[in-house]
Amino acid sequence: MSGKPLLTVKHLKTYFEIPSNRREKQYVKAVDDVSFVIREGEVLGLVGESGSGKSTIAYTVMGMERETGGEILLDGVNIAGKNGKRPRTFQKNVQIVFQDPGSSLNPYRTIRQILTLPLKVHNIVPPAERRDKLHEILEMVELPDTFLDNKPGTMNGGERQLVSIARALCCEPRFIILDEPTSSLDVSIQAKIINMLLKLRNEKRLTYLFITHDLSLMRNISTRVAILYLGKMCEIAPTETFYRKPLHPYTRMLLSSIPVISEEEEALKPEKTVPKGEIPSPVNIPSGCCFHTRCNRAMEICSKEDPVMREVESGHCVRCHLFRDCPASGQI
Amino acid sequence: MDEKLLEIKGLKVWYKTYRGDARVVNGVDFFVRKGEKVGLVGESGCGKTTTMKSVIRTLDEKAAEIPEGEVLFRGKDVLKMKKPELQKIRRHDIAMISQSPMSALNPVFTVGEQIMDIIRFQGDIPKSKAYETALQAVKSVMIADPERILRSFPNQLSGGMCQRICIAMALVTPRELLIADEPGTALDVTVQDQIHSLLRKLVSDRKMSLIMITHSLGVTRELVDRIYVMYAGNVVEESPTAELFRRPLHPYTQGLMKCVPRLSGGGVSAGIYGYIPDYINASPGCRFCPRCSRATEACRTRRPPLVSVGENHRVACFLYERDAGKEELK
Repeated sequence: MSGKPLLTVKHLKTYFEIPSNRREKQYVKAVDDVSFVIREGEVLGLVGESGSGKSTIAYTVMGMERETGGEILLDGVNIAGKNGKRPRTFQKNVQIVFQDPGSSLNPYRTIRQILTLPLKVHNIVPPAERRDKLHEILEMVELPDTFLDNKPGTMNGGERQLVSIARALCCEPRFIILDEPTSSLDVSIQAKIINMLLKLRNEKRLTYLFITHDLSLMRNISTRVAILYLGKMCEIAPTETFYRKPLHPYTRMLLSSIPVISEEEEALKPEKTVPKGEIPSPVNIPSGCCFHTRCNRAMEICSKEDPVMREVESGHCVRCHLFRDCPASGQI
Repeated sequence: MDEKLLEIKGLKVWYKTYRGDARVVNGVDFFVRKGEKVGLVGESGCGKTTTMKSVIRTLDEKAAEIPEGEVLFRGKDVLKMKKPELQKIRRHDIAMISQSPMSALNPVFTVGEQIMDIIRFQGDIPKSKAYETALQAVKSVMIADPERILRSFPNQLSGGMCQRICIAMALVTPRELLIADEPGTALDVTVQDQIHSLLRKLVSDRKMSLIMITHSLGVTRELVDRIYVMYAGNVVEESPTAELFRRPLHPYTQGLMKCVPRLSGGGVSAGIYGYIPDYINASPGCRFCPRCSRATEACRTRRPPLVSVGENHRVACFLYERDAGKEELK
């Protein structure tokens, strides 16, 4: 847990209004009071099922959705700009790679055009040096120069995702949000992309927020893991601790349902809990702790009172009534 | 138990494109015994779904051509069947569950109507009896409040619920063979886990055969008895589950196993070099050879046949051809 805080998210809330005829407004609470800190050099894994709000957090940080409440700080400076736009320095320093490289690259532009735009906008290099810069960037992601005049449609999924990564690297960012960058790819290609990302992280001293639903992948690349459920954070811990001693009943349920390929891994899974039900609709979030409807250790208090984040051991925080005796956590 | 329920012999499927024929399935041999659970593993585009679609002949016949091969179901060639006979097989013997449950159901009819449709298609069955059967079917896939579900439209249900309905629909009448095409892929891990244990229970209760199409080695390890690994239209390795994970032999299987991120840590492997080949101008040799680190000259010119390397364990790779010969000599 070294390094100074790069991105601080405090009590972030993102609600979406549902059109309805009723007098009182209804909201989808996609992100509800989430706080975390990402320190320089970290890879924070944000894991959750679909509908848990992990992508919404990314979009809110990027300014693609407007926050309903809370603060986002980069290097300790609030990034809320006028009318919800992010300041230019933020846009240069923080980049995002989307899940589906098929739809996040403009099919009518060549790779050259796609990669030149961020160079122009942020004025990274003088116009005369752009050519060299493009070659340098392609070399970084190990794509051949011949791709420059191709359009995304002629490339396969893995190559397209490498272009997306190259585009993010163009403006020399310090922090990249990776929103499920490999979930639409095959494992052999995924391994390649992940290695590329880890190599770039070492070379460029990047910090990642890695959004995924794959806990086995997170085990291998993150330094800390956070679990989201229905817009709220359940558990956050350094990777080693997290996998050695998962505490939240939801985390244990997730870990126990992963299909694995060796006995050694089987032994690491928590005892088999049969998953109950599915993630409820975020419009009608259950009262109290939102997980109590699926929890196998639910108590009476769980349906009444929402637990607070408590620090069980150094850096390992859990939001569950089972750990009522531990002190409430500060900044996590 | 030894009787082969379904046997595919030398199946080839070509898709016609404007550039020429894409040889997507390039000579697949495959069989399922009665009551056996078999997995078909491979990455996207390797022809697993195409192979299985040709079993119940739901391929688009304008685009796909089957130049060679046989699909024997109980000894009869499905590919040569006339429509009434084929309908009978689809109606009574083989069921298939598709990958995306949301798009497999018709959005303008309620779930109940759709299930009852299938039941009444079996013969002249009164509506009230069909409703009872539908209710039973929905109950058997562990759905709480089945009456409400039967009244709902698919868009009112979650993905996991829709997949359960699809399974219920596939199994309203007794079937001998269930083909499940990545039934859990579109779902979250916890829901996927539920669907898989449901499948496991139903299949063993009813003594059906199961073909599980998936891209995940982990899923096959938990669910099936025997695995076929496919790469670019060929079966490259065939083995009982435990044996495959203990001793993967084909370089592709080995590479694939290394690529799967482990819960026990240890980093991520470098992946498999290159990408899947072009199916239109594919080389006559081994299709994995451009990505293989152990390729030799022979791999480029000749296609390796499946050779036996142990009990029920067969590999299509020249590395093991000599070993296989030795074993036979002994």
